[in-house]
Amino acid sequence: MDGKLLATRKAVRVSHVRPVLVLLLVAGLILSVLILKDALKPSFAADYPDYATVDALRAVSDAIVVGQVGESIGKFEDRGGDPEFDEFGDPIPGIPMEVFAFNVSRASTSEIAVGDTIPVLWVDLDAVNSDDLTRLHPGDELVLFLEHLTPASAPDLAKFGDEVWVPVSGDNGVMDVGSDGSASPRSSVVEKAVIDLRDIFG
Amino acid sequence: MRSNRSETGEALSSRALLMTMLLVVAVLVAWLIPASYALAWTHHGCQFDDAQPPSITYKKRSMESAYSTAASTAMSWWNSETGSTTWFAWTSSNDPNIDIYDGIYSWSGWAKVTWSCWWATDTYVGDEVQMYYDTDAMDGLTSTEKAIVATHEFGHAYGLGHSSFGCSAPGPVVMKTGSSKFSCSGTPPWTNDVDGWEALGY
Repeated sequence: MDGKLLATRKAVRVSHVRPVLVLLLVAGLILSVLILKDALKPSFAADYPDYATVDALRAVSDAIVVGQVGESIGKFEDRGGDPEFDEFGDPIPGIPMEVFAFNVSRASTSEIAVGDTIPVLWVDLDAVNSDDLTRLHPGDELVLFLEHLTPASAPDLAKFGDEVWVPVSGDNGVMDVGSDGSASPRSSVVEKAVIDLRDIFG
Repeated sequence: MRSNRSETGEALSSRALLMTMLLVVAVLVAWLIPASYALAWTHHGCQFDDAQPPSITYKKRSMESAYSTAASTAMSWWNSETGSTTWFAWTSSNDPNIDIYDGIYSWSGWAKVTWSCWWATDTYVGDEVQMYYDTDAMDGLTSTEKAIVATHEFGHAYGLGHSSFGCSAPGPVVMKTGSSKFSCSGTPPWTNDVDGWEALGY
């Protein structure tokens, strides 16, 4: 009788434990696939000038804008003007780039009007990993210190038109806008952690 | 009796499954938590495998002379500091360990490196390392500054990550981004860079 009771209890315990284990196993597998997907991507690192102050950033920027990141409007491999294949027929690798629509609510230059949507370049972080770059997410409210690119200055951009912009020195040229109107630099290179927008636009 | 044995067996196999799951989770956690360094150098997590030295081959792809010279100078500086003249060796093969390009790229910055890593061994795989010098962004740099940027990129090729230290102790470190390293005395790679290289175990 005791043996039967023990067996019944074990059976009940096993029947409860098994679904939990299966769920854990499935969750583990999904997690592993997600981690592996990221681990299999190439990585990206760069060396670029860095700017510790707003004045230094302003001095090298063609435009400063405030606005919201919109949808991704395209991706391309930036080969610096090299063809897609070399003389042996092997593909020439490029840097994976993504272009976002950026909806401007404030601009430092007459080249860009309030209400304009401008194309802004970023490294395609779906295609490469980077320890140095944060992601641009649709909906992010940002201050961007921008360099103006033309097909002459970056030959692989021709298909995105004459008016393409890229933040200066990666995260260094990107700041998040807070609800109080302040800006928080994404790069620790910038000396101040919080900056008043009035100090940026004067 | 047979039923009891079978249920005990199921309980045991459930326990084994649970132990396996815990082991998998422990391995994943250990893998996800990055090592913390109290040193001036860091590793980006991938490097050439043990079979690669004493020769890491490179190929320059139709480069302008100023950038070809910068790359050559950087390699000779690294070779000199690491006590070998054969670490970086030119190859006519179309499948070198490092492909070096120059051009006008859309991404803001002097130079970039991309690499592909085999996650299980943390060693380069496939096309291994690509290096890109931006002839537009680097145009204003002196020949020495160009060579210092190239030395930074070859540090990435070895497996070094970025450092936040400047010229003063515990620096200088060539793996810091930005122009501050240009004013450090002597030529890179500096002691901390070589320490980081040694720690890679080449």
